[in-house]
Amino acid sequence: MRRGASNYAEPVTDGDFATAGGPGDPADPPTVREAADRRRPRSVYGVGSDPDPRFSMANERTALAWVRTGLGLLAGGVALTSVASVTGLPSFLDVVSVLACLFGAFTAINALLSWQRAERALRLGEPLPAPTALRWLVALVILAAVVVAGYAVAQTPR
Amino acid sequence: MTGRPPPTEGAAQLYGAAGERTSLAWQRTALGVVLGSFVLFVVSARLGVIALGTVAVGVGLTLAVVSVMAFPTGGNPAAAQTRNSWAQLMILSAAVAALGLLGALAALITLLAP
Repeated sequence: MRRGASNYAEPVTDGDFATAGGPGDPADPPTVREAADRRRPRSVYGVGSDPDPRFSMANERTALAWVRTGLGLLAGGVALTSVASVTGLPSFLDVVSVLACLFGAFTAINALLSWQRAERALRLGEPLPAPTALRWLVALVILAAVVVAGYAVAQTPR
Repeated sequence: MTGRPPPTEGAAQLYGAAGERTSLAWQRTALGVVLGSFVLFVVSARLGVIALGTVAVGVGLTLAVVSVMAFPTGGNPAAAQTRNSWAQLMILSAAVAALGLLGALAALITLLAP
C-alpha cells in the first residue's frame, strides 16, 4: 500500500481505485487529491492512507470517553468543594478537589494527544500506542479513594 | 491501491451504526460539558465568586452552540471521512480543560478563604 495517498472528499469513479496513484504518480497529475484533503493536523493526515472509517470512528469515541472521564474528575472535584464548604469539612478535601480538577483538565488535553497518536498509527498501519494516562488515572483514583476513606474512618465516632 | 473504495449502499448501512454511535458520543460529551458548566456556575455562586461561574456558563453556552452547528449528526457515514475531527475534538478538550481550571480555582478560593 502506498504512503501519503489520500482520496477523501473527491468524486471517485470505479476505475480510480484500480488505477489511480497518489501524489507524485505520473498517472495522477496535478493533484486534485492533495488539494482535496485539507484536514488538520498535517502530522496526522499528511501521512499514510485512510483506514477503515470504523477504526477512525472508534478512535474518536475512545478520545471522547477520555474527555468524559476528565469531565467526571472535574465534577467530582467541584462536588467535593461544594460539600466541604457547606458542611465545614477540613481544608485538605479542597486540596483533593484542586488535584481532581487539574487532573480532569490534563485528561481532556491528553485525550486530544492520544487521538492524534492513535489516528497516525492507524494511517500508517502501525500498532496502536499504549494509553499513557491510564496508569496515572488509576493511581489517582486509588489515592483519592484511600484519602477520602481514611478521612471517613478517622471521623467515625468511637 | 491508494485507498478504500467509496461506501456502497451496503457499506453505508454497515457504517451507519458506527456513525450513529460516534455522533451520540459527541452529543453526550457536549451535553456533559454544558451541564458541568452550569453545576460549576451554581457552586461558584454559592461560594460567592459569581465571575468565575459566569465564565463557566459562557464556556458551556459556547460549546452548546458549537455542538449544534458543527458536531457530527451521524446521518451520512461518508461525511465521517471528510470532517475535521481534530478541530472539534480540540474545542471539546479546551472546554473541559477550561472548566477544570475554573473548578480548581474555585477550590483554591475556598481553601484560601479566611
